[in-house]
Amino acid sequence: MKKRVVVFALGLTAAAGIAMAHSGATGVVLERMTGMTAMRDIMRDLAPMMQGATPYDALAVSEGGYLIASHAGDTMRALFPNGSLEGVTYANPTIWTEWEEFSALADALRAYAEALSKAAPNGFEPVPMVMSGMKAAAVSGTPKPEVGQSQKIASLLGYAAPKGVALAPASRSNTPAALQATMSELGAGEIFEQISGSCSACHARFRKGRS
Amino acid sequence: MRGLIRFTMASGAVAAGVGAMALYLWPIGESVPSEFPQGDALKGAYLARASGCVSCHTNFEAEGDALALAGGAPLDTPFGTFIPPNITPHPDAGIGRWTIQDFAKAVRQGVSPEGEPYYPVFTYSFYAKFTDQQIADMWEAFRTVPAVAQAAPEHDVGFPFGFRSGLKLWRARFNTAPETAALMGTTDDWNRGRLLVQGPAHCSACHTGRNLAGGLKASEVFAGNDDLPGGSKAPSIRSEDLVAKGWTVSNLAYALKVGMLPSGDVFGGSMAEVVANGTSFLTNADRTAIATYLLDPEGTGIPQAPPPEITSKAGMVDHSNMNMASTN
Repeated sequence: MKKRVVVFALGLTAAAGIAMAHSGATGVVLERMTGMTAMRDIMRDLAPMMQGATPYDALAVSEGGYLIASHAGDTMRALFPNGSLEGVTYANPTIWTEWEEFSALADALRAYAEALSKAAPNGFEPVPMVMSGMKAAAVSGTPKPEVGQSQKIASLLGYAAPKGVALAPASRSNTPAALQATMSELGAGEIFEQISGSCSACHARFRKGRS
Repeated sequence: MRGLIRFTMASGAVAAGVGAMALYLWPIGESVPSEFPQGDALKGAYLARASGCVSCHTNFEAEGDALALAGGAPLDTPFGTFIPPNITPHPDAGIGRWTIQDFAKAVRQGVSPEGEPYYPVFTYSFYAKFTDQQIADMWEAFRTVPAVAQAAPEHDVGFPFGFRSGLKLWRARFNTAPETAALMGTTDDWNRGRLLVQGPAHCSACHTGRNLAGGLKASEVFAGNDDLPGGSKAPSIRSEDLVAKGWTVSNLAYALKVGMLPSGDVFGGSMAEVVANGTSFLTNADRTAIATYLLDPEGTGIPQAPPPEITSKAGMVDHSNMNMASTN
């Protein structure tokens, strides 16, 4: 499967490169735009499944996660060499002044995407399994422990501990590896939301010219 | 001649002074009930989150953990820089000395306990229809928030906008309560969406253009605004534009949950924050209601047909819509 995926990825990248050649971007800027576009299209194609609009396809989800992971982490960092803002680019120069944050988001994306690839067979929501103690609580789909009213109020008003791992990929306790181990037990739907959330968090801070 | 000029200038100054005094003395606000029902903190917390209280009054950009409701990130506007104040129950730094009547007047009428008008950057016009029960719910919720002793800095607003009494003119002209009463012949879902969009969720605050005085342009409802605080842009969310961009009730509701566009791209800028700190906390039913209303604001009950290029699924490597300069 891996081989097929890689061939597919190369094909996608080449085709996208041709299409993008007209946008005015060149070199490493073009290369990363191509990568971003490829990820965007994977997200676009998987989204209807995550909304329940089309049937869930575990293989497509797994391949999608694998492909996104291949664009994230080290690959992502390598495509943003210091000050690479030539030509048409939407990169915000704060990427390099806040490199640690950017880098953490790139790692988080990789961790989420790998988790998606692994968790794809769990389904959109994992089938309830007999599990013990803490493990069961981490899995959506098994009955979650009743969240207390005061906890719900605290979360809504923003003074509870951060909810899950959402939009806090750089937070201290969640190393990408630990994150991935926990996440691969979740349903694909929940992990997909984390991927979208980390894209959005990164774009909000580091992409220029978009609202 | 010199005398005439002197007289004219003096009378001009006197007129301005009298005008300012009249504005200062002009009483604003209506009476507030002396009794409120018992509030439900959970419902109030949900409403506070849906109304943007949490996202605006909490500084998520601050170093370290954001202190809930202890004052927000500065908003740069053409009128000056506004800092959302600390609204935790601290007696000095927050609103700990307020009564529920003060709270009701602030939220629904935009008038401070001292009788001063708030700047419309606080979107109180959208909250004008909150019921006494909803005010009581929010009050109950706010009292559970940990008090933070640090007051938020003052607004930095230059002349003439620093003269708060001048806002009374603004109120007289632009402060209108939203239309949220249920309409006959429409579904519960649609009415709920309309109430959320027009009221608490205050979509218009960003997605409707503003005139020079900062009032919403009635002719440009939901047509977008290229001039948001901090240089951000809000696209049109008129139903025909939403449909043309491939939005459906299902993917719009999902976007409000996870921040993703139909193209697979994601929200950046202010809308990413709106989702992360606002709409992602809503129930699925409420997000669907919002999408239902926005895609059919007339309440016809008939979904608009998407344009042909949206219905035929785009190929895997179609980059024709990769217009990086467009807004989302």
